[in-house]
Amino acid sequence: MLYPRPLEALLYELEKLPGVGPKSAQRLAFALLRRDAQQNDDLAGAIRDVKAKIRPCENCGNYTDVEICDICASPKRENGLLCVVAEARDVLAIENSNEFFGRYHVLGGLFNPLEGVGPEQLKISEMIGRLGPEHVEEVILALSPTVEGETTGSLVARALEKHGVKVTQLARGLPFGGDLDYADQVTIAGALRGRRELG
Amino acid sequence: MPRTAASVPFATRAVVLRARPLGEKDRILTLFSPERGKFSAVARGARSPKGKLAATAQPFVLARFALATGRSLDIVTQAQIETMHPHIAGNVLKTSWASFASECADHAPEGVADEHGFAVLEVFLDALDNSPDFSAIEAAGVWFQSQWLAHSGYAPTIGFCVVCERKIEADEELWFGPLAGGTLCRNCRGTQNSPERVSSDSMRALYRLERSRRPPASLADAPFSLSERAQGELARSVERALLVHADGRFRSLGTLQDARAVAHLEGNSSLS
Repeated sequence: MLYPRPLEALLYELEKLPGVGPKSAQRLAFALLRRDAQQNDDLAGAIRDVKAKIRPCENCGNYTDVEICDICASPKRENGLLCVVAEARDVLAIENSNEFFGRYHVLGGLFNPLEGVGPEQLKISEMIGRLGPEHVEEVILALSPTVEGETTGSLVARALEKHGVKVTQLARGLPFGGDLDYADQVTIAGALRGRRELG
Repeated sequence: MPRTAASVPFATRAVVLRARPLGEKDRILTLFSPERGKFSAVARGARSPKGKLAATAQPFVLARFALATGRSLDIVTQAQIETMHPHIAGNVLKTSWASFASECADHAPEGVADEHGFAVLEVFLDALDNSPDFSAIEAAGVWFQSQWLAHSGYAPTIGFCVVCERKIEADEELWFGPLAGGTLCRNCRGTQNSPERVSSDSMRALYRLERSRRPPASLADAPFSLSERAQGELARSVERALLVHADGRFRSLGTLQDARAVAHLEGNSSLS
């Protein structure tokens, strides 16, 4: 055995985390060894707490430590606008844009037959159940522009067909700061189709 | 500095069978090419909105790839998309069929050249992409399954009893035994596990499908002219035979069966 048993155990656990290989695990483990005991206790407590206290919001599926998340509970949020995202982490990405003031619905994944995720695994019926009580007028599909995202978007749009709500999706096009000559043909084609008049 | 294995470049046409996240911004692609069969490669930056490989690193894309051999995985250096099969994404039934076909190809051994397998997959994805309705999608799907079954070396015996090897006459009753590998006569059907009673029309269609280079537009129209019942027999027979002989289970099968059932009830492909 190269390392003492407790260090070996820590490396083993760290390597299970996404994006952490043997080298990164070693760096993290030695950084933890150098820190004082109180800091490590705080980290251990935070890891324990996140699992014990964080759960999905009963209304939208976003992460929260109470029954209904802050966004669903906020009276300042616009009624009638519902943004559908695949994962709870996508809520944060949209919140960081400071452009959306409605509410969210987290589907809990994307339609992906290769991973065994079908329509019944997605929280589509829960979304339909919110339309009436929350007086939803527009549903914005904020799903990744991938095969899985496009198919999930179609599935959600079809489920909404009978409910008389407006369904929109995020624009497709060139990313801000990107070079045109590096963009692939699909992105350029999408950007051309979605072009808009200036002025 | 000596030239290392990491810098050996090569180019190939390939279909993306799967694209899984790797680290923060990359994807690991499972590719299927005529020269290399199934192999894996890393598409760096493919999950970043500004990544030049983002559109290529999607399932069912057919592209020309430039790659460099790496220590454990090959690395995609450039890619030119031939087709994204744009009508597959957004359609649940088509996506389910394409996923099933990808899984069939994914069961192939790694690094073994497979020109015929690639040709079948390429033709199928093209037909699926251009299928206008449910019956065309089903015809393409059943064609793919029959082709893949034959490609895997399990083409069913049709017209003879696989047990007693006697020719089955046109007016005789016949059964299909997926594990036995073909049609069974009345006397031998009891020797096999759960054979299905089938019509000669559906078995003739299976024989024909295995020998056609492209999927038919529909199984209901000429030259097949199958009744709905015979189409069901054909679809069940070929799927059961494929599943019996496939290594490992198909994760996409449940979704595909659900999507087919819903689309069949609705009588069209607009399940999406």
